[in-house]
Amino acid sequence: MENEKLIYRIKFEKTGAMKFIGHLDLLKIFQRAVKRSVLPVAYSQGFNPHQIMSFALPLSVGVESIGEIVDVEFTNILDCCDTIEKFNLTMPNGLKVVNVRRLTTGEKNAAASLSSASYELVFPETITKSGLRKAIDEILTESQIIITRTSKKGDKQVDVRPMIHELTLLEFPVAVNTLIDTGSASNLKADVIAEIICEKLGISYTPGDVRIKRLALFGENGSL
Amino acid sequence: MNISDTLLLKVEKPARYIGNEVNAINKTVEDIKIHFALCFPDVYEIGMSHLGLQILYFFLNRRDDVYCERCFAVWNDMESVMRENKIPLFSLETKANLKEFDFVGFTLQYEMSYTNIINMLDLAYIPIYSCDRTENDPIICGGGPCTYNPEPMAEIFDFFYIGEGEAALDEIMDLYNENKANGGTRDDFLEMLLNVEGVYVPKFYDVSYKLDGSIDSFVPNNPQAKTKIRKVIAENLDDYFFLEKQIVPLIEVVHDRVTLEVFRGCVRGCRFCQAGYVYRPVRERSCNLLLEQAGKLLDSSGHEEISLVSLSTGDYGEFKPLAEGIIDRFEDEKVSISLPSLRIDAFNLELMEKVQNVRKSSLTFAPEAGTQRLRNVINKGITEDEILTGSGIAFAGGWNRIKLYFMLGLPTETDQDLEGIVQLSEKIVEKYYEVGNRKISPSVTMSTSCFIPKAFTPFQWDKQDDYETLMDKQRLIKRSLTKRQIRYSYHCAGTSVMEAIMSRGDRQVIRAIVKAWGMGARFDGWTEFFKYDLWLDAFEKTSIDITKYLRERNYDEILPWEHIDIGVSKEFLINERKKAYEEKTTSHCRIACVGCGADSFLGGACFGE
Repeated sequence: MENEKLIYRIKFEKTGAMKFIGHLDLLKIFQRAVKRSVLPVAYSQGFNPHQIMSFALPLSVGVESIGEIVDVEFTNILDCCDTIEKFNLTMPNGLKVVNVRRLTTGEKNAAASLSSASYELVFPETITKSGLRKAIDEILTESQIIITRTSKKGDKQVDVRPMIHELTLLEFPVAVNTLIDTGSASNLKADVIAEIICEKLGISYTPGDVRIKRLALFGENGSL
Repeated sequence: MNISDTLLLKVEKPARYIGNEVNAINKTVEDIKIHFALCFPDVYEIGMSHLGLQILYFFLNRRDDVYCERCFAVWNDMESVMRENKIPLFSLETKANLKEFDFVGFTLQYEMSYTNIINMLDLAYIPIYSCDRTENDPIICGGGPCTYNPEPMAEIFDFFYIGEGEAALDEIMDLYNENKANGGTRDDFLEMLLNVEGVYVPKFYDVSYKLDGSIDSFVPNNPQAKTKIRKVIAENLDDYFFLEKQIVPLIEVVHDRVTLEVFRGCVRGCRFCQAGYVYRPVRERSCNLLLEQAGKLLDSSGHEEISLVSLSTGDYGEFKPLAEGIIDRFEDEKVSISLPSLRIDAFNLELMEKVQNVRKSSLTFAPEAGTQRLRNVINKGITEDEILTGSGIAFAGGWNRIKLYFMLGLPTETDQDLEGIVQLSEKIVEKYYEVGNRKISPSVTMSTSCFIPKAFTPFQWDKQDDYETLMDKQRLIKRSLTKRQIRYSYHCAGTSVMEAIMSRGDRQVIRAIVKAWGMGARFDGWTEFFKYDLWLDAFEKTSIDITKYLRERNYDEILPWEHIDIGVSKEFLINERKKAYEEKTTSHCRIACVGCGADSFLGGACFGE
């Protein structure tokens, strides 16, 4: 298998202050980390070569994650443990590589395999557990939830209820876990869920008041 | 200090305020003796592009007893959030309130950032005026190019540092420790500083004015205060601290690359250029050291671009080996080199093609004046022939975009010189049709800024054009323009007038600056924020006549900055001005020493024997 590409799936956390870094800046941060750590990254051909790197899904500014994924192509075989260490020696606080594995033959890249994602939403202390339970129950019994999506083509009414697969109350803190559609086929953002819950609670939603953390990304065959 | 996510998510770019960059320094505040806030009075993306800030940051932090943190001007959205929620201005590294630092040091890069300095002090709940501060306030100090005439800000700062940081900052830190150990007061410390070369403590000097508003006397009021404050420099750059790391910003900044400082000073002697005089004498780093430093900077940052900077990089003695050495070492690592301020000739063009793996960007010429006569007056050593030959080579080599920089309002300028600007630009377009690719049309950007007489240049005595005159000149140029391939862009005349007032201002100007700030002036260097009418109003309300600051000065009057000594003699500047009016040029320092006086710093000739 001489022509087989050496693509590695890098799983990382983006927490703390790094939640304020947007997707394009994150790409630059990864490229520079690869250069500093002198890993044998593969470059694209052409006039303006760039590292061959593809992220599963951009994370909204203000959202943390412990389950981000980027696929990177290298020119040599890597020792996975060593690679984790090299990354973490040079990453800014709040970015941490937790796993590196080589993609198996024929395995689709992360962006193409993505179908859903799980999130944790932590609510302000003013919200009671019973209030939150009631809100969740209401959402789960709805047959449809219509929201308005604004795009270049104009406003569009969308039923997001089928995109919500799980919604569970956590014991501590005042928080819920949710599993929702994510990816090119059908996509729901976590802050929309936060907004829907806030609406049921009768409070206005302010970004940052509900702390959102992405937990994991899933494909058709389970965790990516 | 902990600013909540909710508040940060209200502003456009929260990442400006979080710090946490690669190579930023972490120290425990309890373990250090001196807490230093290094402040840049503009937005993060500008400040982080500034080499001086990176040098001072790592220079101060190399000491175990000092923790130097950064702070930038906050954008207007953040200012609203902070004022509404009573959040004091904080440092990036530990988010500490600026008021709790030992030193708050500002770099004075540009006169139009003065209102930002006032605003930062106010946001930090630190009294704006030096005389109102107490033992509970930090020491406020300033350095950088605008401190060569520090007078407009004299009542704000506790002391100014005139010169290059590497030279005497250690001594100042040591004295601070000594004073603290002895239980001394702020005033004790400021008095100790009177013995440090390069330090100017404004409160120890009294100024009186004549009826016409010019200075009557400028005298020390403390027996230890020197009558002249001589700037300090790093005599031999190879012997001093050099930067091996730079902070790598997490967001895109204006200059997103590592910066290699090739030399300081400039051999050229352009008569309008303040940097060309105040940074004398020329001191070069050796090529080997620079190659080593380039490697360390690139390896530790992961940047994909390195910029070779100085006031005129092509004048570096070992320019060819340096450029080729960097290409050899980094070609495989996909590093590109940016070469600002290069003369356009065949060798340099070939080099540019080799080092920039982007498509052919535009080339820049700075003739500064439209006719050879006026270029002789300002001693800009570039001829029309060189410009046309250079652009010809570039056009033949596939370039089709040229940028041209000119100045309006130069001493002795006539309408012919203004028309010359248009004529020269048109000749360049014609040149393109002679030698360039006819399938693509050329694009020439002709841009004019307004000349501002600056302290310590031969033109420091010259008048500054007023607003209407500058506007008329811009209109004249617009009228003369006929070719559609030329795009004309021009600087705001109002900004230039205000910059001119401050750059040659005295201690009285501060009243108008503080008034303008009170009326809402911020980020005055940004066109979208600058309000000319507001500034005129501020001067009127403080009864300051702006024409007094725009007028021509006499050789025998006391200039507000005359207590500063940059090493270049007044006689030399007067002689250069006379030669300017006679349209005579002065050769550059490598050809022959012009006897400016700056070699006194080196105790011998700047070049060779």
